[in-house]
Amino acid sequence: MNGSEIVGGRFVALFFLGIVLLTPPFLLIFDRSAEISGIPVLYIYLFVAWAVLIALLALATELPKPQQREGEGEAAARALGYISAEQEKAS
Amino acid sequence: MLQGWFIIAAAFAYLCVLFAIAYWGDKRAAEKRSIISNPYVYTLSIAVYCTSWTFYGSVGRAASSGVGFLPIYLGPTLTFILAWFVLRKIIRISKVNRITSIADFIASRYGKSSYLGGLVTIIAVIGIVPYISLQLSAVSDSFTVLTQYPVVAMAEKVSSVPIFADTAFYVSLFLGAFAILFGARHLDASEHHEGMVAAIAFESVVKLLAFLAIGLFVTYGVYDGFGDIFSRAQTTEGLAKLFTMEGAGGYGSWVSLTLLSMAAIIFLPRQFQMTVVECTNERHLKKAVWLFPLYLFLINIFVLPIAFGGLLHFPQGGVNADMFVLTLPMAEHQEMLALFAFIGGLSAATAMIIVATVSLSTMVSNDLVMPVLLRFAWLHLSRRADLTGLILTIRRTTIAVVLLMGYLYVRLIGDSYALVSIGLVSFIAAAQFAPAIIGGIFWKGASRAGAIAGLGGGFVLWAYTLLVPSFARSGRLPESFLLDGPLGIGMLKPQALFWLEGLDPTSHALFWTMVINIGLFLAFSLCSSQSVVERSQAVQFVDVFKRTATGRHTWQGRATVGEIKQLLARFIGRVRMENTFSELEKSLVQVLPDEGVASVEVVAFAERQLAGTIGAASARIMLASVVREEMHDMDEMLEILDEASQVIEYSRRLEEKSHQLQSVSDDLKAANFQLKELDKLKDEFISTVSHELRTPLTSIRSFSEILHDNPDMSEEKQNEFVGIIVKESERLTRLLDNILDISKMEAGKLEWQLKVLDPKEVIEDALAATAGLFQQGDNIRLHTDLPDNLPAVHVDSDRLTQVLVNLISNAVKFCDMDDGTVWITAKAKDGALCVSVRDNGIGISPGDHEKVFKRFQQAGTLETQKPRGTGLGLPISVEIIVQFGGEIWVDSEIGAGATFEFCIPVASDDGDGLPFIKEGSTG
Repeated sequence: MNGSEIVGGRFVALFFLGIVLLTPPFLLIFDRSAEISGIPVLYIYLFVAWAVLIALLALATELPKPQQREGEGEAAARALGYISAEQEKAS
Repeated sequence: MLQGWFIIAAAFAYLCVLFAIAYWGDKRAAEKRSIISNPYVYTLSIAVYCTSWTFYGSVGRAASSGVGFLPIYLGPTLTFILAWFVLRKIIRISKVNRITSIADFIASRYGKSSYLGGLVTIIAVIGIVPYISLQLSAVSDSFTVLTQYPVVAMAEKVSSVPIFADTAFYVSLFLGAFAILFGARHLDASEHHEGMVAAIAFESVVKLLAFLAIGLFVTYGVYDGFGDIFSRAQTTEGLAKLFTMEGAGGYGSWVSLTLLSMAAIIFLPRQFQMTVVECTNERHLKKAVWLFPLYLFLINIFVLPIAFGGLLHFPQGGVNADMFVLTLPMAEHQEMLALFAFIGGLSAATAMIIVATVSLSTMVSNDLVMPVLLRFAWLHLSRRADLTGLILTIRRTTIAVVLLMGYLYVRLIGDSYALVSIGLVSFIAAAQFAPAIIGGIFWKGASRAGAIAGLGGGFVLWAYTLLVPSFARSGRLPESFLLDGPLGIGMLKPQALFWLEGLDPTSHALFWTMVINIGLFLAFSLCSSQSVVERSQAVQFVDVFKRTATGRHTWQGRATVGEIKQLLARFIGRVRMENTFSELEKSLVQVLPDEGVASVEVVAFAERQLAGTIGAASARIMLASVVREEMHDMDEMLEILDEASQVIEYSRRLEEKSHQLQSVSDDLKAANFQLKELDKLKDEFISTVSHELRTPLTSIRSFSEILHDNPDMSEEKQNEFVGIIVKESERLTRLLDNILDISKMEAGKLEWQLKVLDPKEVIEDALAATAGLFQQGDNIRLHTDLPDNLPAVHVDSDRLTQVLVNLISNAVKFCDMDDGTVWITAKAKDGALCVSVRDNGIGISPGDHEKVFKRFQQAGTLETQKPRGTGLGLPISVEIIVQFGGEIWVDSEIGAGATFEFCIPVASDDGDGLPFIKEGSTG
């Protein structure tokens, strides 16, 4: 999995989060006649959920692409037997 | 102060500022110092999504259904989360193919079909008319309301005033002229309208600031913050129900509006124009992905406070909730704020109208009118010198017609709908494009037939379930049409089609149009076959990220470069043509003389340039007229075949390889089997040899021991025993010699001294060597039949002698004890010398014929008979005869004696020596 695939994965995850947060079954929890300092909970919930989603979206796009720390991946590959000594020499 | 003239002057001034910005943007673009090429302007230009619907309509919707307005903005947020997968791909495809509109996109995907392009254009134009009418009605209403200042009163019903007294009419004319000046002033080859984008971005800032200003004023100026407004609403009768989802129209409506807006944010023609066509750099999308939802969030924060503020402020009704944004500052005597609100609303409306009409006019000219005109050969259009004028006329006319249609719609449906309801009609029309586009970019199997059927079916249902009812509602059609269905057929009630009741009209229409659209799209795609062009376009669209964006080699004609240049000049102007061609020459690093034949690259380049101006479908027709050849289907087919055959080639090679491996493994298996067999034979050989060696050794040892232990044995006895020891020793020596021979032969180490010889001499030598055997007892007779003229053979004389001696001694051994006869016969037969040795002994049963030629195997059973040979004589003979190129076999039956016969090919002419022994040369 390379960096841009991970970024793509972030979006898929966020999309599902968005669907969960903004559509009915979950929405039912906040669909009640109650207020927090005068403001209906449904209103507060919808705008807060929306803002959180946008913030996460900003993080997902703006955070640098994850990269394997140098040498770590190779060491792991060697430990798992994916790289043999000959290959290493060849490269 | 807020008289009509002042408002008009303010609006006019505002529009002049827009022009200035647009002019500046175009100028900077020409200088290649773009002001719009950054993610922020890009985001603001996408915010053309927020129109009068958002600015005025959201508040109206919130006043009647609480959070019911919100899905329209949550949907786009969800879509933008997936922009990485969907929008990025659409943008990339559009850049590669120089797509100029949504109709162009769909037509291009489905085999550059001009029919499909036309269909999409028609749907887009008709579908967007209600949306444009929404803007017109909002502008004229807000203007009328504002001119009443400080009285808060609503405009009269538009339908009740004559056209020439109707504000909406003048608004339409004014905005039409404005849109023409803006979007169709001149023709741009690249179809990038940088000036327009800059102006739209500016408008997005204005409308956001205006709305936030009103919001802050209402929330904190008129009331005491959010909590205050909602607490007051809580205590007001009838308003608390808006606090829950029940007031928002229920969950069904919530979900369907979310889905609808998810589609609209991409597929509304103006969104496609801004997000895709005007996108200057794919990377800008990355920031827009979260900045655009943030814009939507900001512009929606104060919708609910303003709505409740309005409801609280005008409890007696009579004030249209759609106008709260304007009427609240008016009621509070905030002249300037009210004017700012009006300007904000105007900016929202004008932005939408400009972009929508520009994108529609591009579609109408590129995908509807031009393809039709170009098909009429009698117009000689493809020969006309300059078509830019014609194209501009078409576009300007389109803009005017679309705005007038919008106005007509306003008058027809009157005030029977709220702003949002009108807009939703257009949203569902735009959503009809979703299956064809989403299916088209992710599924290669999506076909033209599927797209046409889906779009057509969806559009017809849209018209029936939404457009027709809007006329019926406003009294233009009898009301019974809605209530009882056409001709009283209940099943066909437009808003309860097939008895589907209980859904709001939007969800109802969305459900039916999508069921039919997606259903037909899939069914026809799965049941129809794609043409060659379609197939290649499908691959190009779906695999856009896998392919390089080079021109495709689909044209092959006999046009000259000059002709291509002329064609381009007609559409994009001579100067621009010269510029683009010199750029092309630079990139190809070659000079293109006018009289030279246009290469595939040049024609493909021209096609892309033309596609930018007149759309993909028209560009094809135009080029075909110049290249004088329909597009080479053959070429395209070959290219596709090429791909297919490559795949086939790979699989063929794989198959070959696996066949090879299979045969190698078979060989290996056979070799392994042979090795095992040989190993077994070797073991047997060793054990047999040991056994064979032990027998003589045992007897030598035992007789020696007897001699040793009995010194006083009689001399006669001693001699007898010593004789046995000598005989057994000889046998042992013979045995070892034979073993050495056979192992040498098998290892190929034996040296053969091949010479051309007279066989008779050899046979006589052998007879001489075995003469002693016949003298032992006189009861064995020898018969020989050796003709003089035997053919010469190419053999090793010693070895052949060895064979003969072996055969003869065997014959002597096994012939009749009492009256033995041995016959030796030699003769020439079929180019071979055949020698047979026959005896009249006990014979060999046919089952043992093969066995006697094997090592240590003798006829009869070893257990009962004392071995009378080494068991290696015949195997050695076989080896020798085979070495000479001959054969040896036995012919015998039990009790009838045995005939051993071998044949050796006679020496050939080119052999070293005489082919035949001359007669009489031997004595």
